[in-house]
Amino acid sequence: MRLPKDLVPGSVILILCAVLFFVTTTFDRDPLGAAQGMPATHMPRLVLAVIAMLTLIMIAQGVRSGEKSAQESPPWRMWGTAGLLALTAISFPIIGVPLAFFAVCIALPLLWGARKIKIVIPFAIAVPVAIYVVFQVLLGLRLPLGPLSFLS
Amino acid sequence: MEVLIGGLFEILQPQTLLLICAGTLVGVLVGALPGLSSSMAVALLLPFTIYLDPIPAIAMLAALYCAGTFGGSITAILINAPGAPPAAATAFDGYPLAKNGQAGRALGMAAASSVAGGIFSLFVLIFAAPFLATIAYKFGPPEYFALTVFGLSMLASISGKSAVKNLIGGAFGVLLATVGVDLTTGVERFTFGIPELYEGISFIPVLIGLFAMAELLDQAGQKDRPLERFAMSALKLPTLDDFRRVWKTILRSSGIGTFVGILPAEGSTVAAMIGYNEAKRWSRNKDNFGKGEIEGVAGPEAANNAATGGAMVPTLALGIPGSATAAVILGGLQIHGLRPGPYLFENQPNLLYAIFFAMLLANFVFLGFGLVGARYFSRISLIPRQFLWPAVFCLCVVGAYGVGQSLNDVYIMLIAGFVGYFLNRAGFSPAPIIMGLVLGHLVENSLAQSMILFDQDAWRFLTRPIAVLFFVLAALSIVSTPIGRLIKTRRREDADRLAHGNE
Repeated sequence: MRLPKDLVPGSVILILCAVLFFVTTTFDRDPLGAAQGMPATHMPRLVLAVIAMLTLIMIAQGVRSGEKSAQESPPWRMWGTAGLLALTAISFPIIGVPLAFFAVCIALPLLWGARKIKIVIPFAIAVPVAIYVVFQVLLGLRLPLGPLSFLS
Repeated sequence: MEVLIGGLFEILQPQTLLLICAGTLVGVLVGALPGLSSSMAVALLLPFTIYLDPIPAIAMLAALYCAGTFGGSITAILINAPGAPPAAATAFDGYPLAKNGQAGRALGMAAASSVAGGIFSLFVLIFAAPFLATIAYKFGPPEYFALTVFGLSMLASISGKSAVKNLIGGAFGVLLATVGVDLTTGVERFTFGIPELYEGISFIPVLIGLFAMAELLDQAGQKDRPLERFAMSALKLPTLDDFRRVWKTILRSSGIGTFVGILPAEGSTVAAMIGYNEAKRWSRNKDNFGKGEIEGVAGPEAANNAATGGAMVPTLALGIPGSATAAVILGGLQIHGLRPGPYLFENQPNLLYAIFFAMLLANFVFLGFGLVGARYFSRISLIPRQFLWPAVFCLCVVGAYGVGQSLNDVYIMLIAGFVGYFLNRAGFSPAPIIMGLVLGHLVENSLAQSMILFDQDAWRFLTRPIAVLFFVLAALSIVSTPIGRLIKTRRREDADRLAHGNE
């Protein structure tokens, strides 16, 4: 069964609004803000209320239009890419940025369909080297280098 | 006059000149790459400007903004793939012209119209921004609150799939701005005990995540499409006859673009579409539009570049961004410790003129690049996605890491990218979120100060005429889109009824 357009994202937003509203009830009390008429909870609650109201309008518009939500799930390559990038980010403190870039510059082109390894390898070497020279050497950015920390 | 010369002097420093040229070159290149927008390029470059003085840094970003808008037209004309959304309207007639062997003529007209539109809007900027800033001197917190509400309400009418979704995006951005320790009360909000969130969500990682990482994930799922590039063997510039034919279009579109740019949140894409439609409406060759009409290139190009100067007017004078890219530049100003608005004109008068001259120079530099190097720039769009986007990812990581030299910012960028991807799929664009994030603190602070001023009585906003004017404009901008749609539907229904009645 296909649901009306915007019903799923709308419901997710409404649930998030409810959860975040609950979180605002856990904020510390602030006598100063209360005395001045603008406690720390006011702005987030006001914005959450606006978002919830607009979301209800969005859902109503979706239902009225009669359009159905697209059922296509994200393509597998997106999930693969997201997983690969997350893995790369986790590996930064362990293997350092240049080696992680080297790995991602090999894995990502292959995942996206590049087949000429003779091009992929030089590319995977050139990108981290260029980043290291420009940002670490020229701009003085201190990137985590991992096992290559002797280069710093 | 002294200030004007001061601004010129700042720009004529060799380092600044070099940065402006580099910004222009990067802008044209990035603009020519489908999928990479000038907003994304400015977002990626922003972290590295922290190592520069404020004037060269902002001058480079402003130059990139101008050039990026033009760069999109190169691929729009030569391969029918607009490098950036503002160039989409240019492809309607630019590509057919290229197919007819007139690529050089179309590119020449795009470059010349862009420069004309850009310069027109810069002169408006130089006169309108200080004037607006003088008016803004009279603004107190209630007026600023009303102005930011108006700025956010304009999100309803920017290009995108849905006005309501744009407004939700803007509100979400404001909500993100509330994360961290509240500076007035010292209360932690949405920090969940994570110390890195005490100072709030870093602007740059969110920016890079929403613009670049979300696009990368989107590109992951797209199929390669073969692009046909038209050769430009000889660069045939537009003739004097062409200019005689289009000068009115250029002037009209420059005016439209500047006006649209000045409106908070409205950017080059809206300006270009209106510029194209108006060019068609007033043209003697209406029927030729879509088939290769030179006015169809001049109209959107003059308008989209005029919008860049226009967008800088509210950004500099009021601190309300005129477009998504201007919002990023506004973030850049804030990172450099500059607070846009009337006090910027008082404390840093050189900056306005430096930005003016930087954008002026960028217009002439990209004219040169555009005319001489167009055929080479168009090749950049032929770089396979499989190599372009991993390199963009590496730049995103370095950009997010660069500001605070913290890997946490890289993780925030990745999360923002992932969230941005799903928001894009659900029809939410990143620009409103960025607008909300940039304006969030101003909204809250001005509201808090107003409430103190009004002794907790919100009705007293009605005693401030300028604030009331902005609230009315905000209400109008929100209701104008659904009302316009309703009128269109009614007209269509009436037309259908008449047609059926006649049968």
